[in-house]
Amino acid sequence: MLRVENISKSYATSDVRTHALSDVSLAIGEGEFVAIMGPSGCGKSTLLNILGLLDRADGGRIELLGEDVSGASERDLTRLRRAAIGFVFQSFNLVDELTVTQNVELGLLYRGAGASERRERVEAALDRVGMRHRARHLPKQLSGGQQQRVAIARAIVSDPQLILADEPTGNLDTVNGEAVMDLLQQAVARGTSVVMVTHSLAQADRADRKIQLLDGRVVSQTRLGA
Amino acid sequence: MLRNIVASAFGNLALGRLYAAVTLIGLALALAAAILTALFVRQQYAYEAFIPGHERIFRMTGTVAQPGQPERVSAVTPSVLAAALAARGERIEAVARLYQDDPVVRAGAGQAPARAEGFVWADPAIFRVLPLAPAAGDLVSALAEPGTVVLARSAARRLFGRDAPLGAALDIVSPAGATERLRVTAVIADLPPETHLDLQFIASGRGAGSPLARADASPVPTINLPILTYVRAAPGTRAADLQGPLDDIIRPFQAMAAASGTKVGGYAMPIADIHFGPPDDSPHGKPGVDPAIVVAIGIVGLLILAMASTSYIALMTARAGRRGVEVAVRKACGAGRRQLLAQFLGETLLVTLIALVLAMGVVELVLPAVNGLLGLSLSFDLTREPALLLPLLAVWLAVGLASGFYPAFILSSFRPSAALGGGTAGLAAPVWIGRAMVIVQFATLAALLVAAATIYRQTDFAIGSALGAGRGPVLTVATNCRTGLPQAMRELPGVRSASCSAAGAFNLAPQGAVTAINRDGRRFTPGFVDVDSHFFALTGLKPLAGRVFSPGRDGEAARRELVVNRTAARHFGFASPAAAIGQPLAISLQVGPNPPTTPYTIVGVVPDAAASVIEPAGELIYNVAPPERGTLAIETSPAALANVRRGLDRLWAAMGDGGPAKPRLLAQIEAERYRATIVQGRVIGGSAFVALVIAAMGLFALSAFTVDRRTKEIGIRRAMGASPGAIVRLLLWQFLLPVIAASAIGIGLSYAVMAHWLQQFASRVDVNIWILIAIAAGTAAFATIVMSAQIAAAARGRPVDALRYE
Repeated sequence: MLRVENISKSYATSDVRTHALSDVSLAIGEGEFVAIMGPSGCGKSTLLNILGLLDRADGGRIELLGEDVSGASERDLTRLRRAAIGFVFQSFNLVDELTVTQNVELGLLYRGAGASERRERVEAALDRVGMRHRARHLPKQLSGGQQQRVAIARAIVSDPQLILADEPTGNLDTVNGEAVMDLLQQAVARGTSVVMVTHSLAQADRADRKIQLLDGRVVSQTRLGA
Repeated sequence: MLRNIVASAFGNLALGRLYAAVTLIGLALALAAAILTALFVRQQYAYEAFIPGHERIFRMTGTVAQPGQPERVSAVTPSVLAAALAARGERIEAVARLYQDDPVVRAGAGQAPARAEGFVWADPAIFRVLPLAPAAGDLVSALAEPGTVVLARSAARRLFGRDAPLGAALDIVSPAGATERLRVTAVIADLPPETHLDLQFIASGRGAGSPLARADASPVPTINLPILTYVRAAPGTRAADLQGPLDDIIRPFQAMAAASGTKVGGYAMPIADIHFGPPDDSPHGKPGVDPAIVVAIGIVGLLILAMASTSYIALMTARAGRRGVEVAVRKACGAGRRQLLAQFLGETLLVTLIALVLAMGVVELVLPAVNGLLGLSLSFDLTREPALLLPLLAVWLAVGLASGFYPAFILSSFRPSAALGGGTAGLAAPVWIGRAMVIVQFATLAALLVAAATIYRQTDFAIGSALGAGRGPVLTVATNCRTGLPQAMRELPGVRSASCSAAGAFNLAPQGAVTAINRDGRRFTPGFVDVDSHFFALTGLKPLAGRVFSPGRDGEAARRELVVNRTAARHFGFASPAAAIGQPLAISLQVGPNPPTTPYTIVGVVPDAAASVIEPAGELIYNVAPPERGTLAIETSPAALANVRRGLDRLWAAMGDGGPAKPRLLAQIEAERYRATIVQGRVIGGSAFVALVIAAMGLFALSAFTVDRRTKEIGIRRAMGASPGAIVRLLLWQFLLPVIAASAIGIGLSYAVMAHWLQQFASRVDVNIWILIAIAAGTAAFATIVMSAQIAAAARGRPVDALRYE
């Protein structure tokens, strides 16, 4: 469902050019759970941003759902992101001023979903993450684990084909981290592809495949559970 | 989506209370100031609009240019002009005259007499020319009969205690005690404040006692009477269309005036232009208003809005980085740029709407005080004028969109990958925005301060230049000068001096004009006022040559003496004031080719005492003869003022014209003469105060944000050895530099504008360079005070705390 071929990305200042990604190629299948690992600064987050169409590669080809999006306009990228991708971040990134319900329904609002559809889907998503009883709360009234469950609800509420998770358990204790991993695996079980950046070997081991990055290059890919 | 916008807007306001307060209060204050200035401008442009067909009603206006003198404009017209216009003007539907008077009246026998303010004698056609709203009776026929009068509703209530006293008797009481009875035939609705007309009593000009009828019966045309001529023209008539008939009528007068080198002319002035026209010299006239100042005040209102808008833009843009993650999340959730633009614009519109509602509340609260301070009658009542909602809606949208677009543009352009990656690349708002805000705000502030200071100084100078200024309090009261009252007042304890002379001598009314013929046979048309022998002592006008009139001199010879002012002496051809002494001057009270004259001798020359600083002094002749209708001026001391007032009331009851004396202080009258300028100065001053508050709040918030943003940098600099003083200087300078630049820009622009504004005054102050320097220094000091507390606190903090700060 997602394929990237020979993508590269570099950042330049007036004096220095830093290569964040070099000649990276990989493919994500439908319903596949992929973990991306590597040391800090190896390009994991840059890769995730490019996979999520939040950033553009300098070169190479990206294909999402069979559509070449390498040269797509910003408007088309927004449309694809809206239709097919959900995000989970390490620091949750809930909008502080909005309630749990309002945070979860954000993606639906931008898709133009009607009020009743939004209500049904938000309730269903919050049910799935066990947060319906906190629907009217603000993020600051929730624990870190609860906030990340809300963030997962926000990612799955539109039934995306792909969820991109950037160290989703990085700010959580073990118990909450496990709960979040369970939720991601439930999403995979429903046919959603998940790409997760993580430093945790234990959590990476729960994925179908593990990709190792180093200095902006894919140095290994390991299929797990085979 | 709306709920989302509302929640987001309120959430952001709640998270940054300081910035929310600055934003809301700044916008609300600016909107309130803009609403007030808009109400003021609207009122200024609404003059005479209440009169149906006002666009085709004209008041005839005369012009006189003496040799070497600028042209003077006069609303007072010859008595014969109306009849001549009616006979010649094809496009004229009706002509009517008003004779402004101030008699003592009594609402029937046994009632207390009182001076009737707003009293006019009018031709019966006046209501065809000025179709005012009737409250009772038939205005078309109301003045057809001699001895009839139409009252304004407030005058009817005041005198008769009811709204429609049709048939009631109103007696005019002469100084000698004789009465002339008028019958009330109609009542008009009270005129709104937006008019040059002062109509409380409108008496028929047909009666034998009417000065209009007397003027019509005079064998020679009179030019000195307070007669105003109004014309109602056919639809579509422009002022220029009436010029031809008017020129035909004026031509004979022009030929006569040309003999003395004087140019006379006339034109038809649309009544809607009177408010913005030259100063109205008629007895009931109101001071003219400079339309450029009204437009300038409107622009000031817009500038204040721009200040608040700039403040909003700068603060929102400076804080934009704080919302980078939110933008990234929204984009990750599928928000397109257009949706984010709508989101952030929506938030601004909501904030602006709240500010507008607050502003409307502020306007409701302060309007009575503003009206009191400025002597205006502005109204802001949405229930009576729901149409006001439309401009308010337009202002809301304009300010909201203007303020919100740039921050929304910046926010919606953030790269989500930068925010999500934890970096700040792509999230930094342009630094120039903050500097632009400081420059716009402080340039506006400095410009307004220069304008307010200049207007205040010029007004102070004008009032200080008035005749009798700098002496003790001078009480004035209109009265008959040929009674024992002036002498009785002079004998009253606490009275320094008292003079009963023509109102025109004190510059309280137009000066009558005469024909003067010098020894060479040259003719002039100087002003001519009757004064008593105490006039010069009271006013402090000391002779430049010769002597002034002295008490005790009497007899025919004394009655043939004249004192002239310096301008008159020069124009009459004398090389110096001394050269005029003892020279003959023939005077005629009439105009015409060969009017009968009376010989006089010039005994003194005194300095010019211009009626106002607006126009230069004209030729003026003082004649010693206490007038029957004049002004009694009484100089006293501040300590004795109350006792003198009581003494005047007591003597007035025995010797006055009837009714209460109602004396007025000369200084008050002078202040009223410059009321329009004083109002303009106060509006500009008030605007400067609002600008000061907005600039202070904007700078405080921006510097607070900058300190917050640079806390870690401060820690690093402190760790590297920088002293707190060095940190303070670094941060202060960052803002002071644009403040100083802005002050220079604002002061320079305002200097140019105010120097031009001062040109309208014949006597004026200079734009003082030290005041400009003081304003520049003051704004810099003000900015330093606003920022110093928070900057000093940050600079004095422990470096280790700053280094831990995130």
